[in-house]
Amino acid sequence: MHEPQITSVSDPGPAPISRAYRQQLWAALAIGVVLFLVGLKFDTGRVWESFLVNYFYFLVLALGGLFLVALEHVTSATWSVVFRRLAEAAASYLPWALVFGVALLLGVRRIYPWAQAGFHFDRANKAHYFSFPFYSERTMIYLLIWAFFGLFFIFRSLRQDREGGQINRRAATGFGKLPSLNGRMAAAFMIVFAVTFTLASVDWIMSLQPDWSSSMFGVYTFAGLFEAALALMIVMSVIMRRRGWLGEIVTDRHYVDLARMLHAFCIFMVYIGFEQYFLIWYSNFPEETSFFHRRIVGGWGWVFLFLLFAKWVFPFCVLLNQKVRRNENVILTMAWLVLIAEWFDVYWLVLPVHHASFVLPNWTDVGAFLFFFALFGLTVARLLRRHSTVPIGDPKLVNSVAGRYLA
Amino acid sequence: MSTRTVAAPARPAPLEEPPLYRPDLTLTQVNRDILAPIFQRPTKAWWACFACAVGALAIGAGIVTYQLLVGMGIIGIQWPSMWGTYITNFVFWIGIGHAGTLISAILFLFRQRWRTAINRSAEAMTIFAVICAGMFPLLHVGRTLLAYWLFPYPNQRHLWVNFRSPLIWDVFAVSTYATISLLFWYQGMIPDLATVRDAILKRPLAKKIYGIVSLGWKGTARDWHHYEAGYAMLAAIATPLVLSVHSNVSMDFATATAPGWHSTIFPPYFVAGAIFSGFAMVVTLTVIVRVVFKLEDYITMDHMELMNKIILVTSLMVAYAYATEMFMAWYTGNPYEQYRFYGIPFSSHFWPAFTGPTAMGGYVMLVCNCAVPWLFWFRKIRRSVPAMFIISLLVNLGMWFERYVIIVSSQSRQFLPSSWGNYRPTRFDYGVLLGSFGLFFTLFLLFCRFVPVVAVAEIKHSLRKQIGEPPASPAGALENVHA
Repeated sequence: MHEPQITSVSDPGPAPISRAYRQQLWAALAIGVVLFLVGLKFDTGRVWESFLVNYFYFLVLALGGLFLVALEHVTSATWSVVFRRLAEAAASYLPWALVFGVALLLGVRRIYPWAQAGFHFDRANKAHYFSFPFYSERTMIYLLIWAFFGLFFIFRSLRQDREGGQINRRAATGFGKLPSLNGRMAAAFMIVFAVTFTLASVDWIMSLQPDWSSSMFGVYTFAGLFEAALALMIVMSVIMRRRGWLGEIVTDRHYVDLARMLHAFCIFMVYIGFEQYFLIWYSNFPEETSFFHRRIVGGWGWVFLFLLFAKWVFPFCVLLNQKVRRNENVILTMAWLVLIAEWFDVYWLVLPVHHASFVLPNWTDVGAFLFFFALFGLTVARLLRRHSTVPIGDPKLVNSVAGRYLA
Repeated sequence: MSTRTVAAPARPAPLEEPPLYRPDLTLTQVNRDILAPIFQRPTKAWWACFACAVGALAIGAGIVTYQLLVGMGIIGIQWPSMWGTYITNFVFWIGIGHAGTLISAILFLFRQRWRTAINRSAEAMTIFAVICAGMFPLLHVGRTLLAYWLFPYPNQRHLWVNFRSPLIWDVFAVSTYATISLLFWYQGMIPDLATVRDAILKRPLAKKIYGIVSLGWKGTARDWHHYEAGYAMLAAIATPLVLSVHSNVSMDFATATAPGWHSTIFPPYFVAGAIFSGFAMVVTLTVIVRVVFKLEDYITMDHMELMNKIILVTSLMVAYAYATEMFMAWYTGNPYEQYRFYGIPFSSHFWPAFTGPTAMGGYVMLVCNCAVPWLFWFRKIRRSVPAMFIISLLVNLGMWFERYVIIVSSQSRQFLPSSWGNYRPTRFDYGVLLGSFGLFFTLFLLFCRFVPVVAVAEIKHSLRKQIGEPPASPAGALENVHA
């Protein structure tokens, strides 16, 4: 741990993302649109399910980025400053999530049982709650709030780059000081996020089974979000660092820290998942067990098992070893595994509602995935191509690079 | 890749972390200050506190003896409220213990070096709180002398405990927790006990005893190497325990089929609540300790402020859990569930927690757990000793009532009106609760007299770093061994 004192860092500059790469993304976007239109014609129900799965998945990644940004501001963290621009890049997708949230509303009748003609809630309160106008208003409110906070933190961070760290300096001066505007806004975001993301999970995922409910569900989707966000940070930074886009700023030590966080939060994920499953299994209420019954019979149980292994068993066992945890390839593999597992988690939450037995992801999923992946990739690339790949104006950056947050 | 180095004026100088300790503090001074309570004769204030604590303990012990003689009837337990305050106290004290493990294990793994000032007393608090907690199920089983039946040991009649009951999981969870916490606490103390041993000049017997309990610690490189590896290992083992123990306790309620009890969010919600109440207790104790033993240089206002921030964060988590439960009770439209959670506006019944027999508890719980901690949004209040002292007491009051509302109000309203009955605590209920506080404070006050209340070795390590001296331990820093 005795490193030479680092007192200044050089700016790695924007990421030189090639034109060819962007063209590929545009092509993927176009293929996605075509497949979606074809799907609308031939398999309307399935195409909207794929839309929901992929929309929610990339929304989760973007929100995960925003959550990491806010977490850093609210805790005045130093270690994660080197990754913050990557998290901000992910969060820059949120305005697009707002746009395609409107598109999702068009599919509500195809996806949700409660929106279909002739459906009657057994209890009156839900009929009001899931009236289409109220539902759409809620959707718009969540997405507007998230997009606002996302843009707020991104703009302030970019302004800090230009102004040389004069804004938000106060937050970085350690404990005992007044929080900066970023810190205050991040605290406000945390509260708003907890409420909106829980309600959004209820609206978009839980209401697929209108008679089922679990008070843990918001925490469950959040646990997946956080685990996936950490994995996304690992994937993005490893890829970019290998290409030299992050300069000398991200060091091995930062990966080890990210890997440890991933390790910790894969335990959190399995804790939340297990407790939810266990309490429902133990109490054995018919209206509650229907959720898991549907997602275990008919081959869906294999997905459930895959989630257990990909989100917890493998990352936990592999990252347990210190030496292994320092291996960049291993960390990257685990991060990819977690990202894939999160996609299958959403798939497993959505698809069993209309498919009693297991269905493989088909061309509608490929189309929707290509579309949202390309959109996400282009948005991320846009930010990273125009601005430095690290928050160069942050006064804490030097300490983060130098590892001065270590005791 | 552009490698333009940015011009100097645009790049402010890297931030310097503010020093953790007073700049003129020396290593000798640390020994002198922290060991002072052990070597000086106890002050009058200490004797006064000790007398109160022992008095409360004596009342509790008297009632327990009386209960063992005449039976359970002396406390308010009546069908259908068979759990009453004893189980409330059990959950309350187990929760108090959680802050210690959080500080010692989780903050350690997160490299929060400010924990060094408070981890010793918080860990001690954990041990004593678990002792208090463990007492209550033993009393509650009625035939306390047969409480060893809770352990699954081979016996002639082939009677086994009911492994399918969460109550028996508690036995394992709590005893594991007590064991690991004790080991963790003791291991962290070894270098400090050796410091005390070396500082004793006149009393050979005391020197001998401290020599034995410090296990022959010499402070060599080998000692430190084993110590640091062991400490990191125990921290890793203790971390899941923070989650598992109170999750387990929550299952006593969450696995039941009673409305208001069965809720899947209970495990993380109970864990957050436990940390919430535990930190409140740590604040209560450290406010007293730092003044009585003049440790303001070590347990600084910055430390207090950070703990108050954790109280605020966990308060928000608890509020989130309350809100979720109420929302879900409304969402499901289950009338039994709604009856539990809402009053007149939402159902034709009364809301037991807020209008029924435990109404006061419901309001105390909401105000103390969700509203009062919001005062900590203000920095002035976070850094005001009287304010934080009062708020920390209110938080613990609120958390006691939360458990009371969960346990007592849910049991007092069964599905048939013929199975309704209110819990009426008797003076013996209160007496036993008082006695548990007596036990807790007696142990804590004794701890302050015989063991350094602040981790001397860890403080010295941070201080060496601050004043630029090489570390005593070869690996460099405790916090770095696992990096």
